[in-house]
Amino acid sequence: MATIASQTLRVARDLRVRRATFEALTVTITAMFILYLVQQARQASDLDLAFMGDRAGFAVGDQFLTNVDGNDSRWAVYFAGIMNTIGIAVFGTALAILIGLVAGIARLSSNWLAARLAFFFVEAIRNTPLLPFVVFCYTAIVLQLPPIRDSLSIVGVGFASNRAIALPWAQPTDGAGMWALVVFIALAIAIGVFAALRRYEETTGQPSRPWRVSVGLFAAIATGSFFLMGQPLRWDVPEVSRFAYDGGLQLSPEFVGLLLALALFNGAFVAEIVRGAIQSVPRGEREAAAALGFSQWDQMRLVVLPQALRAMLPPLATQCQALVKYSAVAIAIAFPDLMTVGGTLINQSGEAIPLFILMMVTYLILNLVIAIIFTGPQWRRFNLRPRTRRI
Amino acid sequence: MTALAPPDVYEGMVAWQRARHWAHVRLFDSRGNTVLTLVILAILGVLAFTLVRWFVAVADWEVVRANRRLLLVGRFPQGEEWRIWPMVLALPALTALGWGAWGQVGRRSIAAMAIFGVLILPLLTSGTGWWYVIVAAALAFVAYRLARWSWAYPQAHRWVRRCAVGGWFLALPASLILLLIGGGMETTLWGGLYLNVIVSFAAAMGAIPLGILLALGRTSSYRALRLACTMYIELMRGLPLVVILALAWLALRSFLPDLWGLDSVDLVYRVMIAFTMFTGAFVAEALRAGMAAVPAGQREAAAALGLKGRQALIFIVLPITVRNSAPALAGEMIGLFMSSTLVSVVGLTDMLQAARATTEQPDFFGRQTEVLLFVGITFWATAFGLSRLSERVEYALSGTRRNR
Repeated sequence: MATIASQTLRVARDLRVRRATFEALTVTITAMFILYLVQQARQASDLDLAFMGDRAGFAVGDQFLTNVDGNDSRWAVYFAGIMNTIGIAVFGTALAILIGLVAGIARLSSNWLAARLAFFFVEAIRNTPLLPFVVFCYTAIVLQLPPIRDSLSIVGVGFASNRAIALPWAQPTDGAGMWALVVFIALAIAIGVFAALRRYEETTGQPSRPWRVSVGLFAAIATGSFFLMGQPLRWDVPEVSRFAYDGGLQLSPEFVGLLLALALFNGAFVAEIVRGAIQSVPRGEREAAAALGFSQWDQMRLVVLPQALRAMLPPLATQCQALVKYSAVAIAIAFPDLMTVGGTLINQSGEAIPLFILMMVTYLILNLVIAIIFTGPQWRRFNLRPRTRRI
Repeated sequence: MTALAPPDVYEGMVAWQRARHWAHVRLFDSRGNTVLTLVILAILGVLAFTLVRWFVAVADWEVVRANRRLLLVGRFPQGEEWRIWPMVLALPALTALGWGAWGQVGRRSIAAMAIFGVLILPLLTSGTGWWYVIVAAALAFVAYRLARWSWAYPQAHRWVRRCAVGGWFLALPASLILLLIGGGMETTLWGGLYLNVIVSFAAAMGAIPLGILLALGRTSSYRALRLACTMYIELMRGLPLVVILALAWLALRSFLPDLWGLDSVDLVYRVMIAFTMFTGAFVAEALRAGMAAVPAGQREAAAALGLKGRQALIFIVLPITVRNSAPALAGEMIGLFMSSTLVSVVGLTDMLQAARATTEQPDFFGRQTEVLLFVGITFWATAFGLSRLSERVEYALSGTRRNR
């Protein structure tokens, strides 16, 4: 009797048994929870995306590289929303990195005024909530531009009004596709030449100016073929007509407001990333460059920034992912991005659960793509990862 | 031999010579810097001129004054303000108590608060409201003096600190109970800045325990638990908050069980659940970083003293973790308060939504700049004050660590 009880106790106290039990319990509870969620979802919806093949019935106002209208399927409209999110992400990130580089370097400037100004910019933005800032940029700045008949002129070639911002734009004509192919080949050649010259420079120590040669080569081929092929792009300057602009690239107030807000907001955070990365480069590097006679600009360009880039990339990837997530506030100012289009589709079809799953998967994929772009293996070629070197 | 002090470049200079030398070194030391300084001065001049002209000639703050009630409490019914006033009185007192218990109010902070009060309060109060402001200020002052006085008595000081922390943990249940007792208020009537405060309070109270559990799960040695927690955290961190809020708005009901009326719970509570779930993942990550920074020697020392795993966790590891990740946690909480403005996207009338609604009023058509600026300044000042307070607490915590 007693031996059986102690036997049971010994088994119950055995660490392996207890661990296995707990592990099994966790798996069971998690699985039951997920099953419960799936079952509830199936009760509320048939989890079928067939309705996405139907006619959309609403048009998307802004479109980035797409051309869909209300007669297209819901998939097409949803894709236009994704492209709008990508467009905002690409331009927003580019502007944010530009603003962040300038503000981050300015914060470390020896010029007192520049450093103070950058400091106040960063502090002002970092304590401001995003959504009021977006709404402010949209309703209190972009929508307060003059009406179309009193359009502000942008150096004589573009216009800004509360209806749209119109900028000159290169309009493709016949043969543009062919020329794009030539430019693409020229880019490939330039990259190859760059790599070859770089290798030559590294193995022989002879300066061979890889940047100048490859960029020059690319520019020469691109402009030469442009004129040889009969100018496949037409310079399209907008003109003011009665109620709208004719021609040019027309940006909607929603796009401009959202882009402005996201670029400034993320720019402040990028500025902090840049400042931290520059400060992480040992002082001696810069002092050594100064001792070798590098100018201030060359110290920054050739010694500090390349090393800072290594520390900058991972947080920049996070910030860019944050920008994509932040861009979902577009729904508050009705810019038709992924979130807004998804919301409209939910309202219109009533299929909330499948659409939410679709939107979540889309955002997760976008995040993954950004992570790959910023920290993928392609950067290894540029010496960004710390390498041990044999002496 | 003592080290020589660096030579004083200002020695023997009068004030204007010093100023000239300073400007020469910091603003005009090279041709490039001179150009930069002049360009920035020109830009600042234009900006200052535009802003001053706007403030003097264009701005009309009547829109804020007329809508102060809407901005602060939404469509809260007249005569039910007693549900709110206790919190309005308690929050400044709690802030002052914490401020006094962990530090001292500097002269610049007092000046900033005075300027802010003089500029903002006339827009927000009139009549009996002034009495509440005066009582709140007096209570805050008393709390601050009490906390400062307690520094001389370690026992009392410990209690003051406990009250300062515990008060915040009591404030949310108290504010919710006040909203619900005596017939209660319909949640659709909650609004304005008070809604932002309530939602972020509730989410903070839920997110911290959830975050602790998730952080423990993610660092646990059980593979299945670790996997489940990691997947949850990464899912939440990969999604926009707006999507999760919209999910809570439109689809969460389908997933809630048919128990105690949970599947028909009001939108405000669903939004609180969404914020809790979202913030919990970020809190977990902040705690995990703090936990990774706990020196291995601490766990070993705990084991050497004979503490069991759970005891070592509760008495040794978690306190050090909380101290390590206090700055990140404070940042998360401030971020939570700021992102509470996103509830306006899902159809709740928070301060931002109220501000956007005022511009539909015919009297205040085109006054969106003033009212949005007011919302922005309110949130900015709160976030700035909270981040300064967290820096103070963080500094005090690092001080105790050094003393031990």
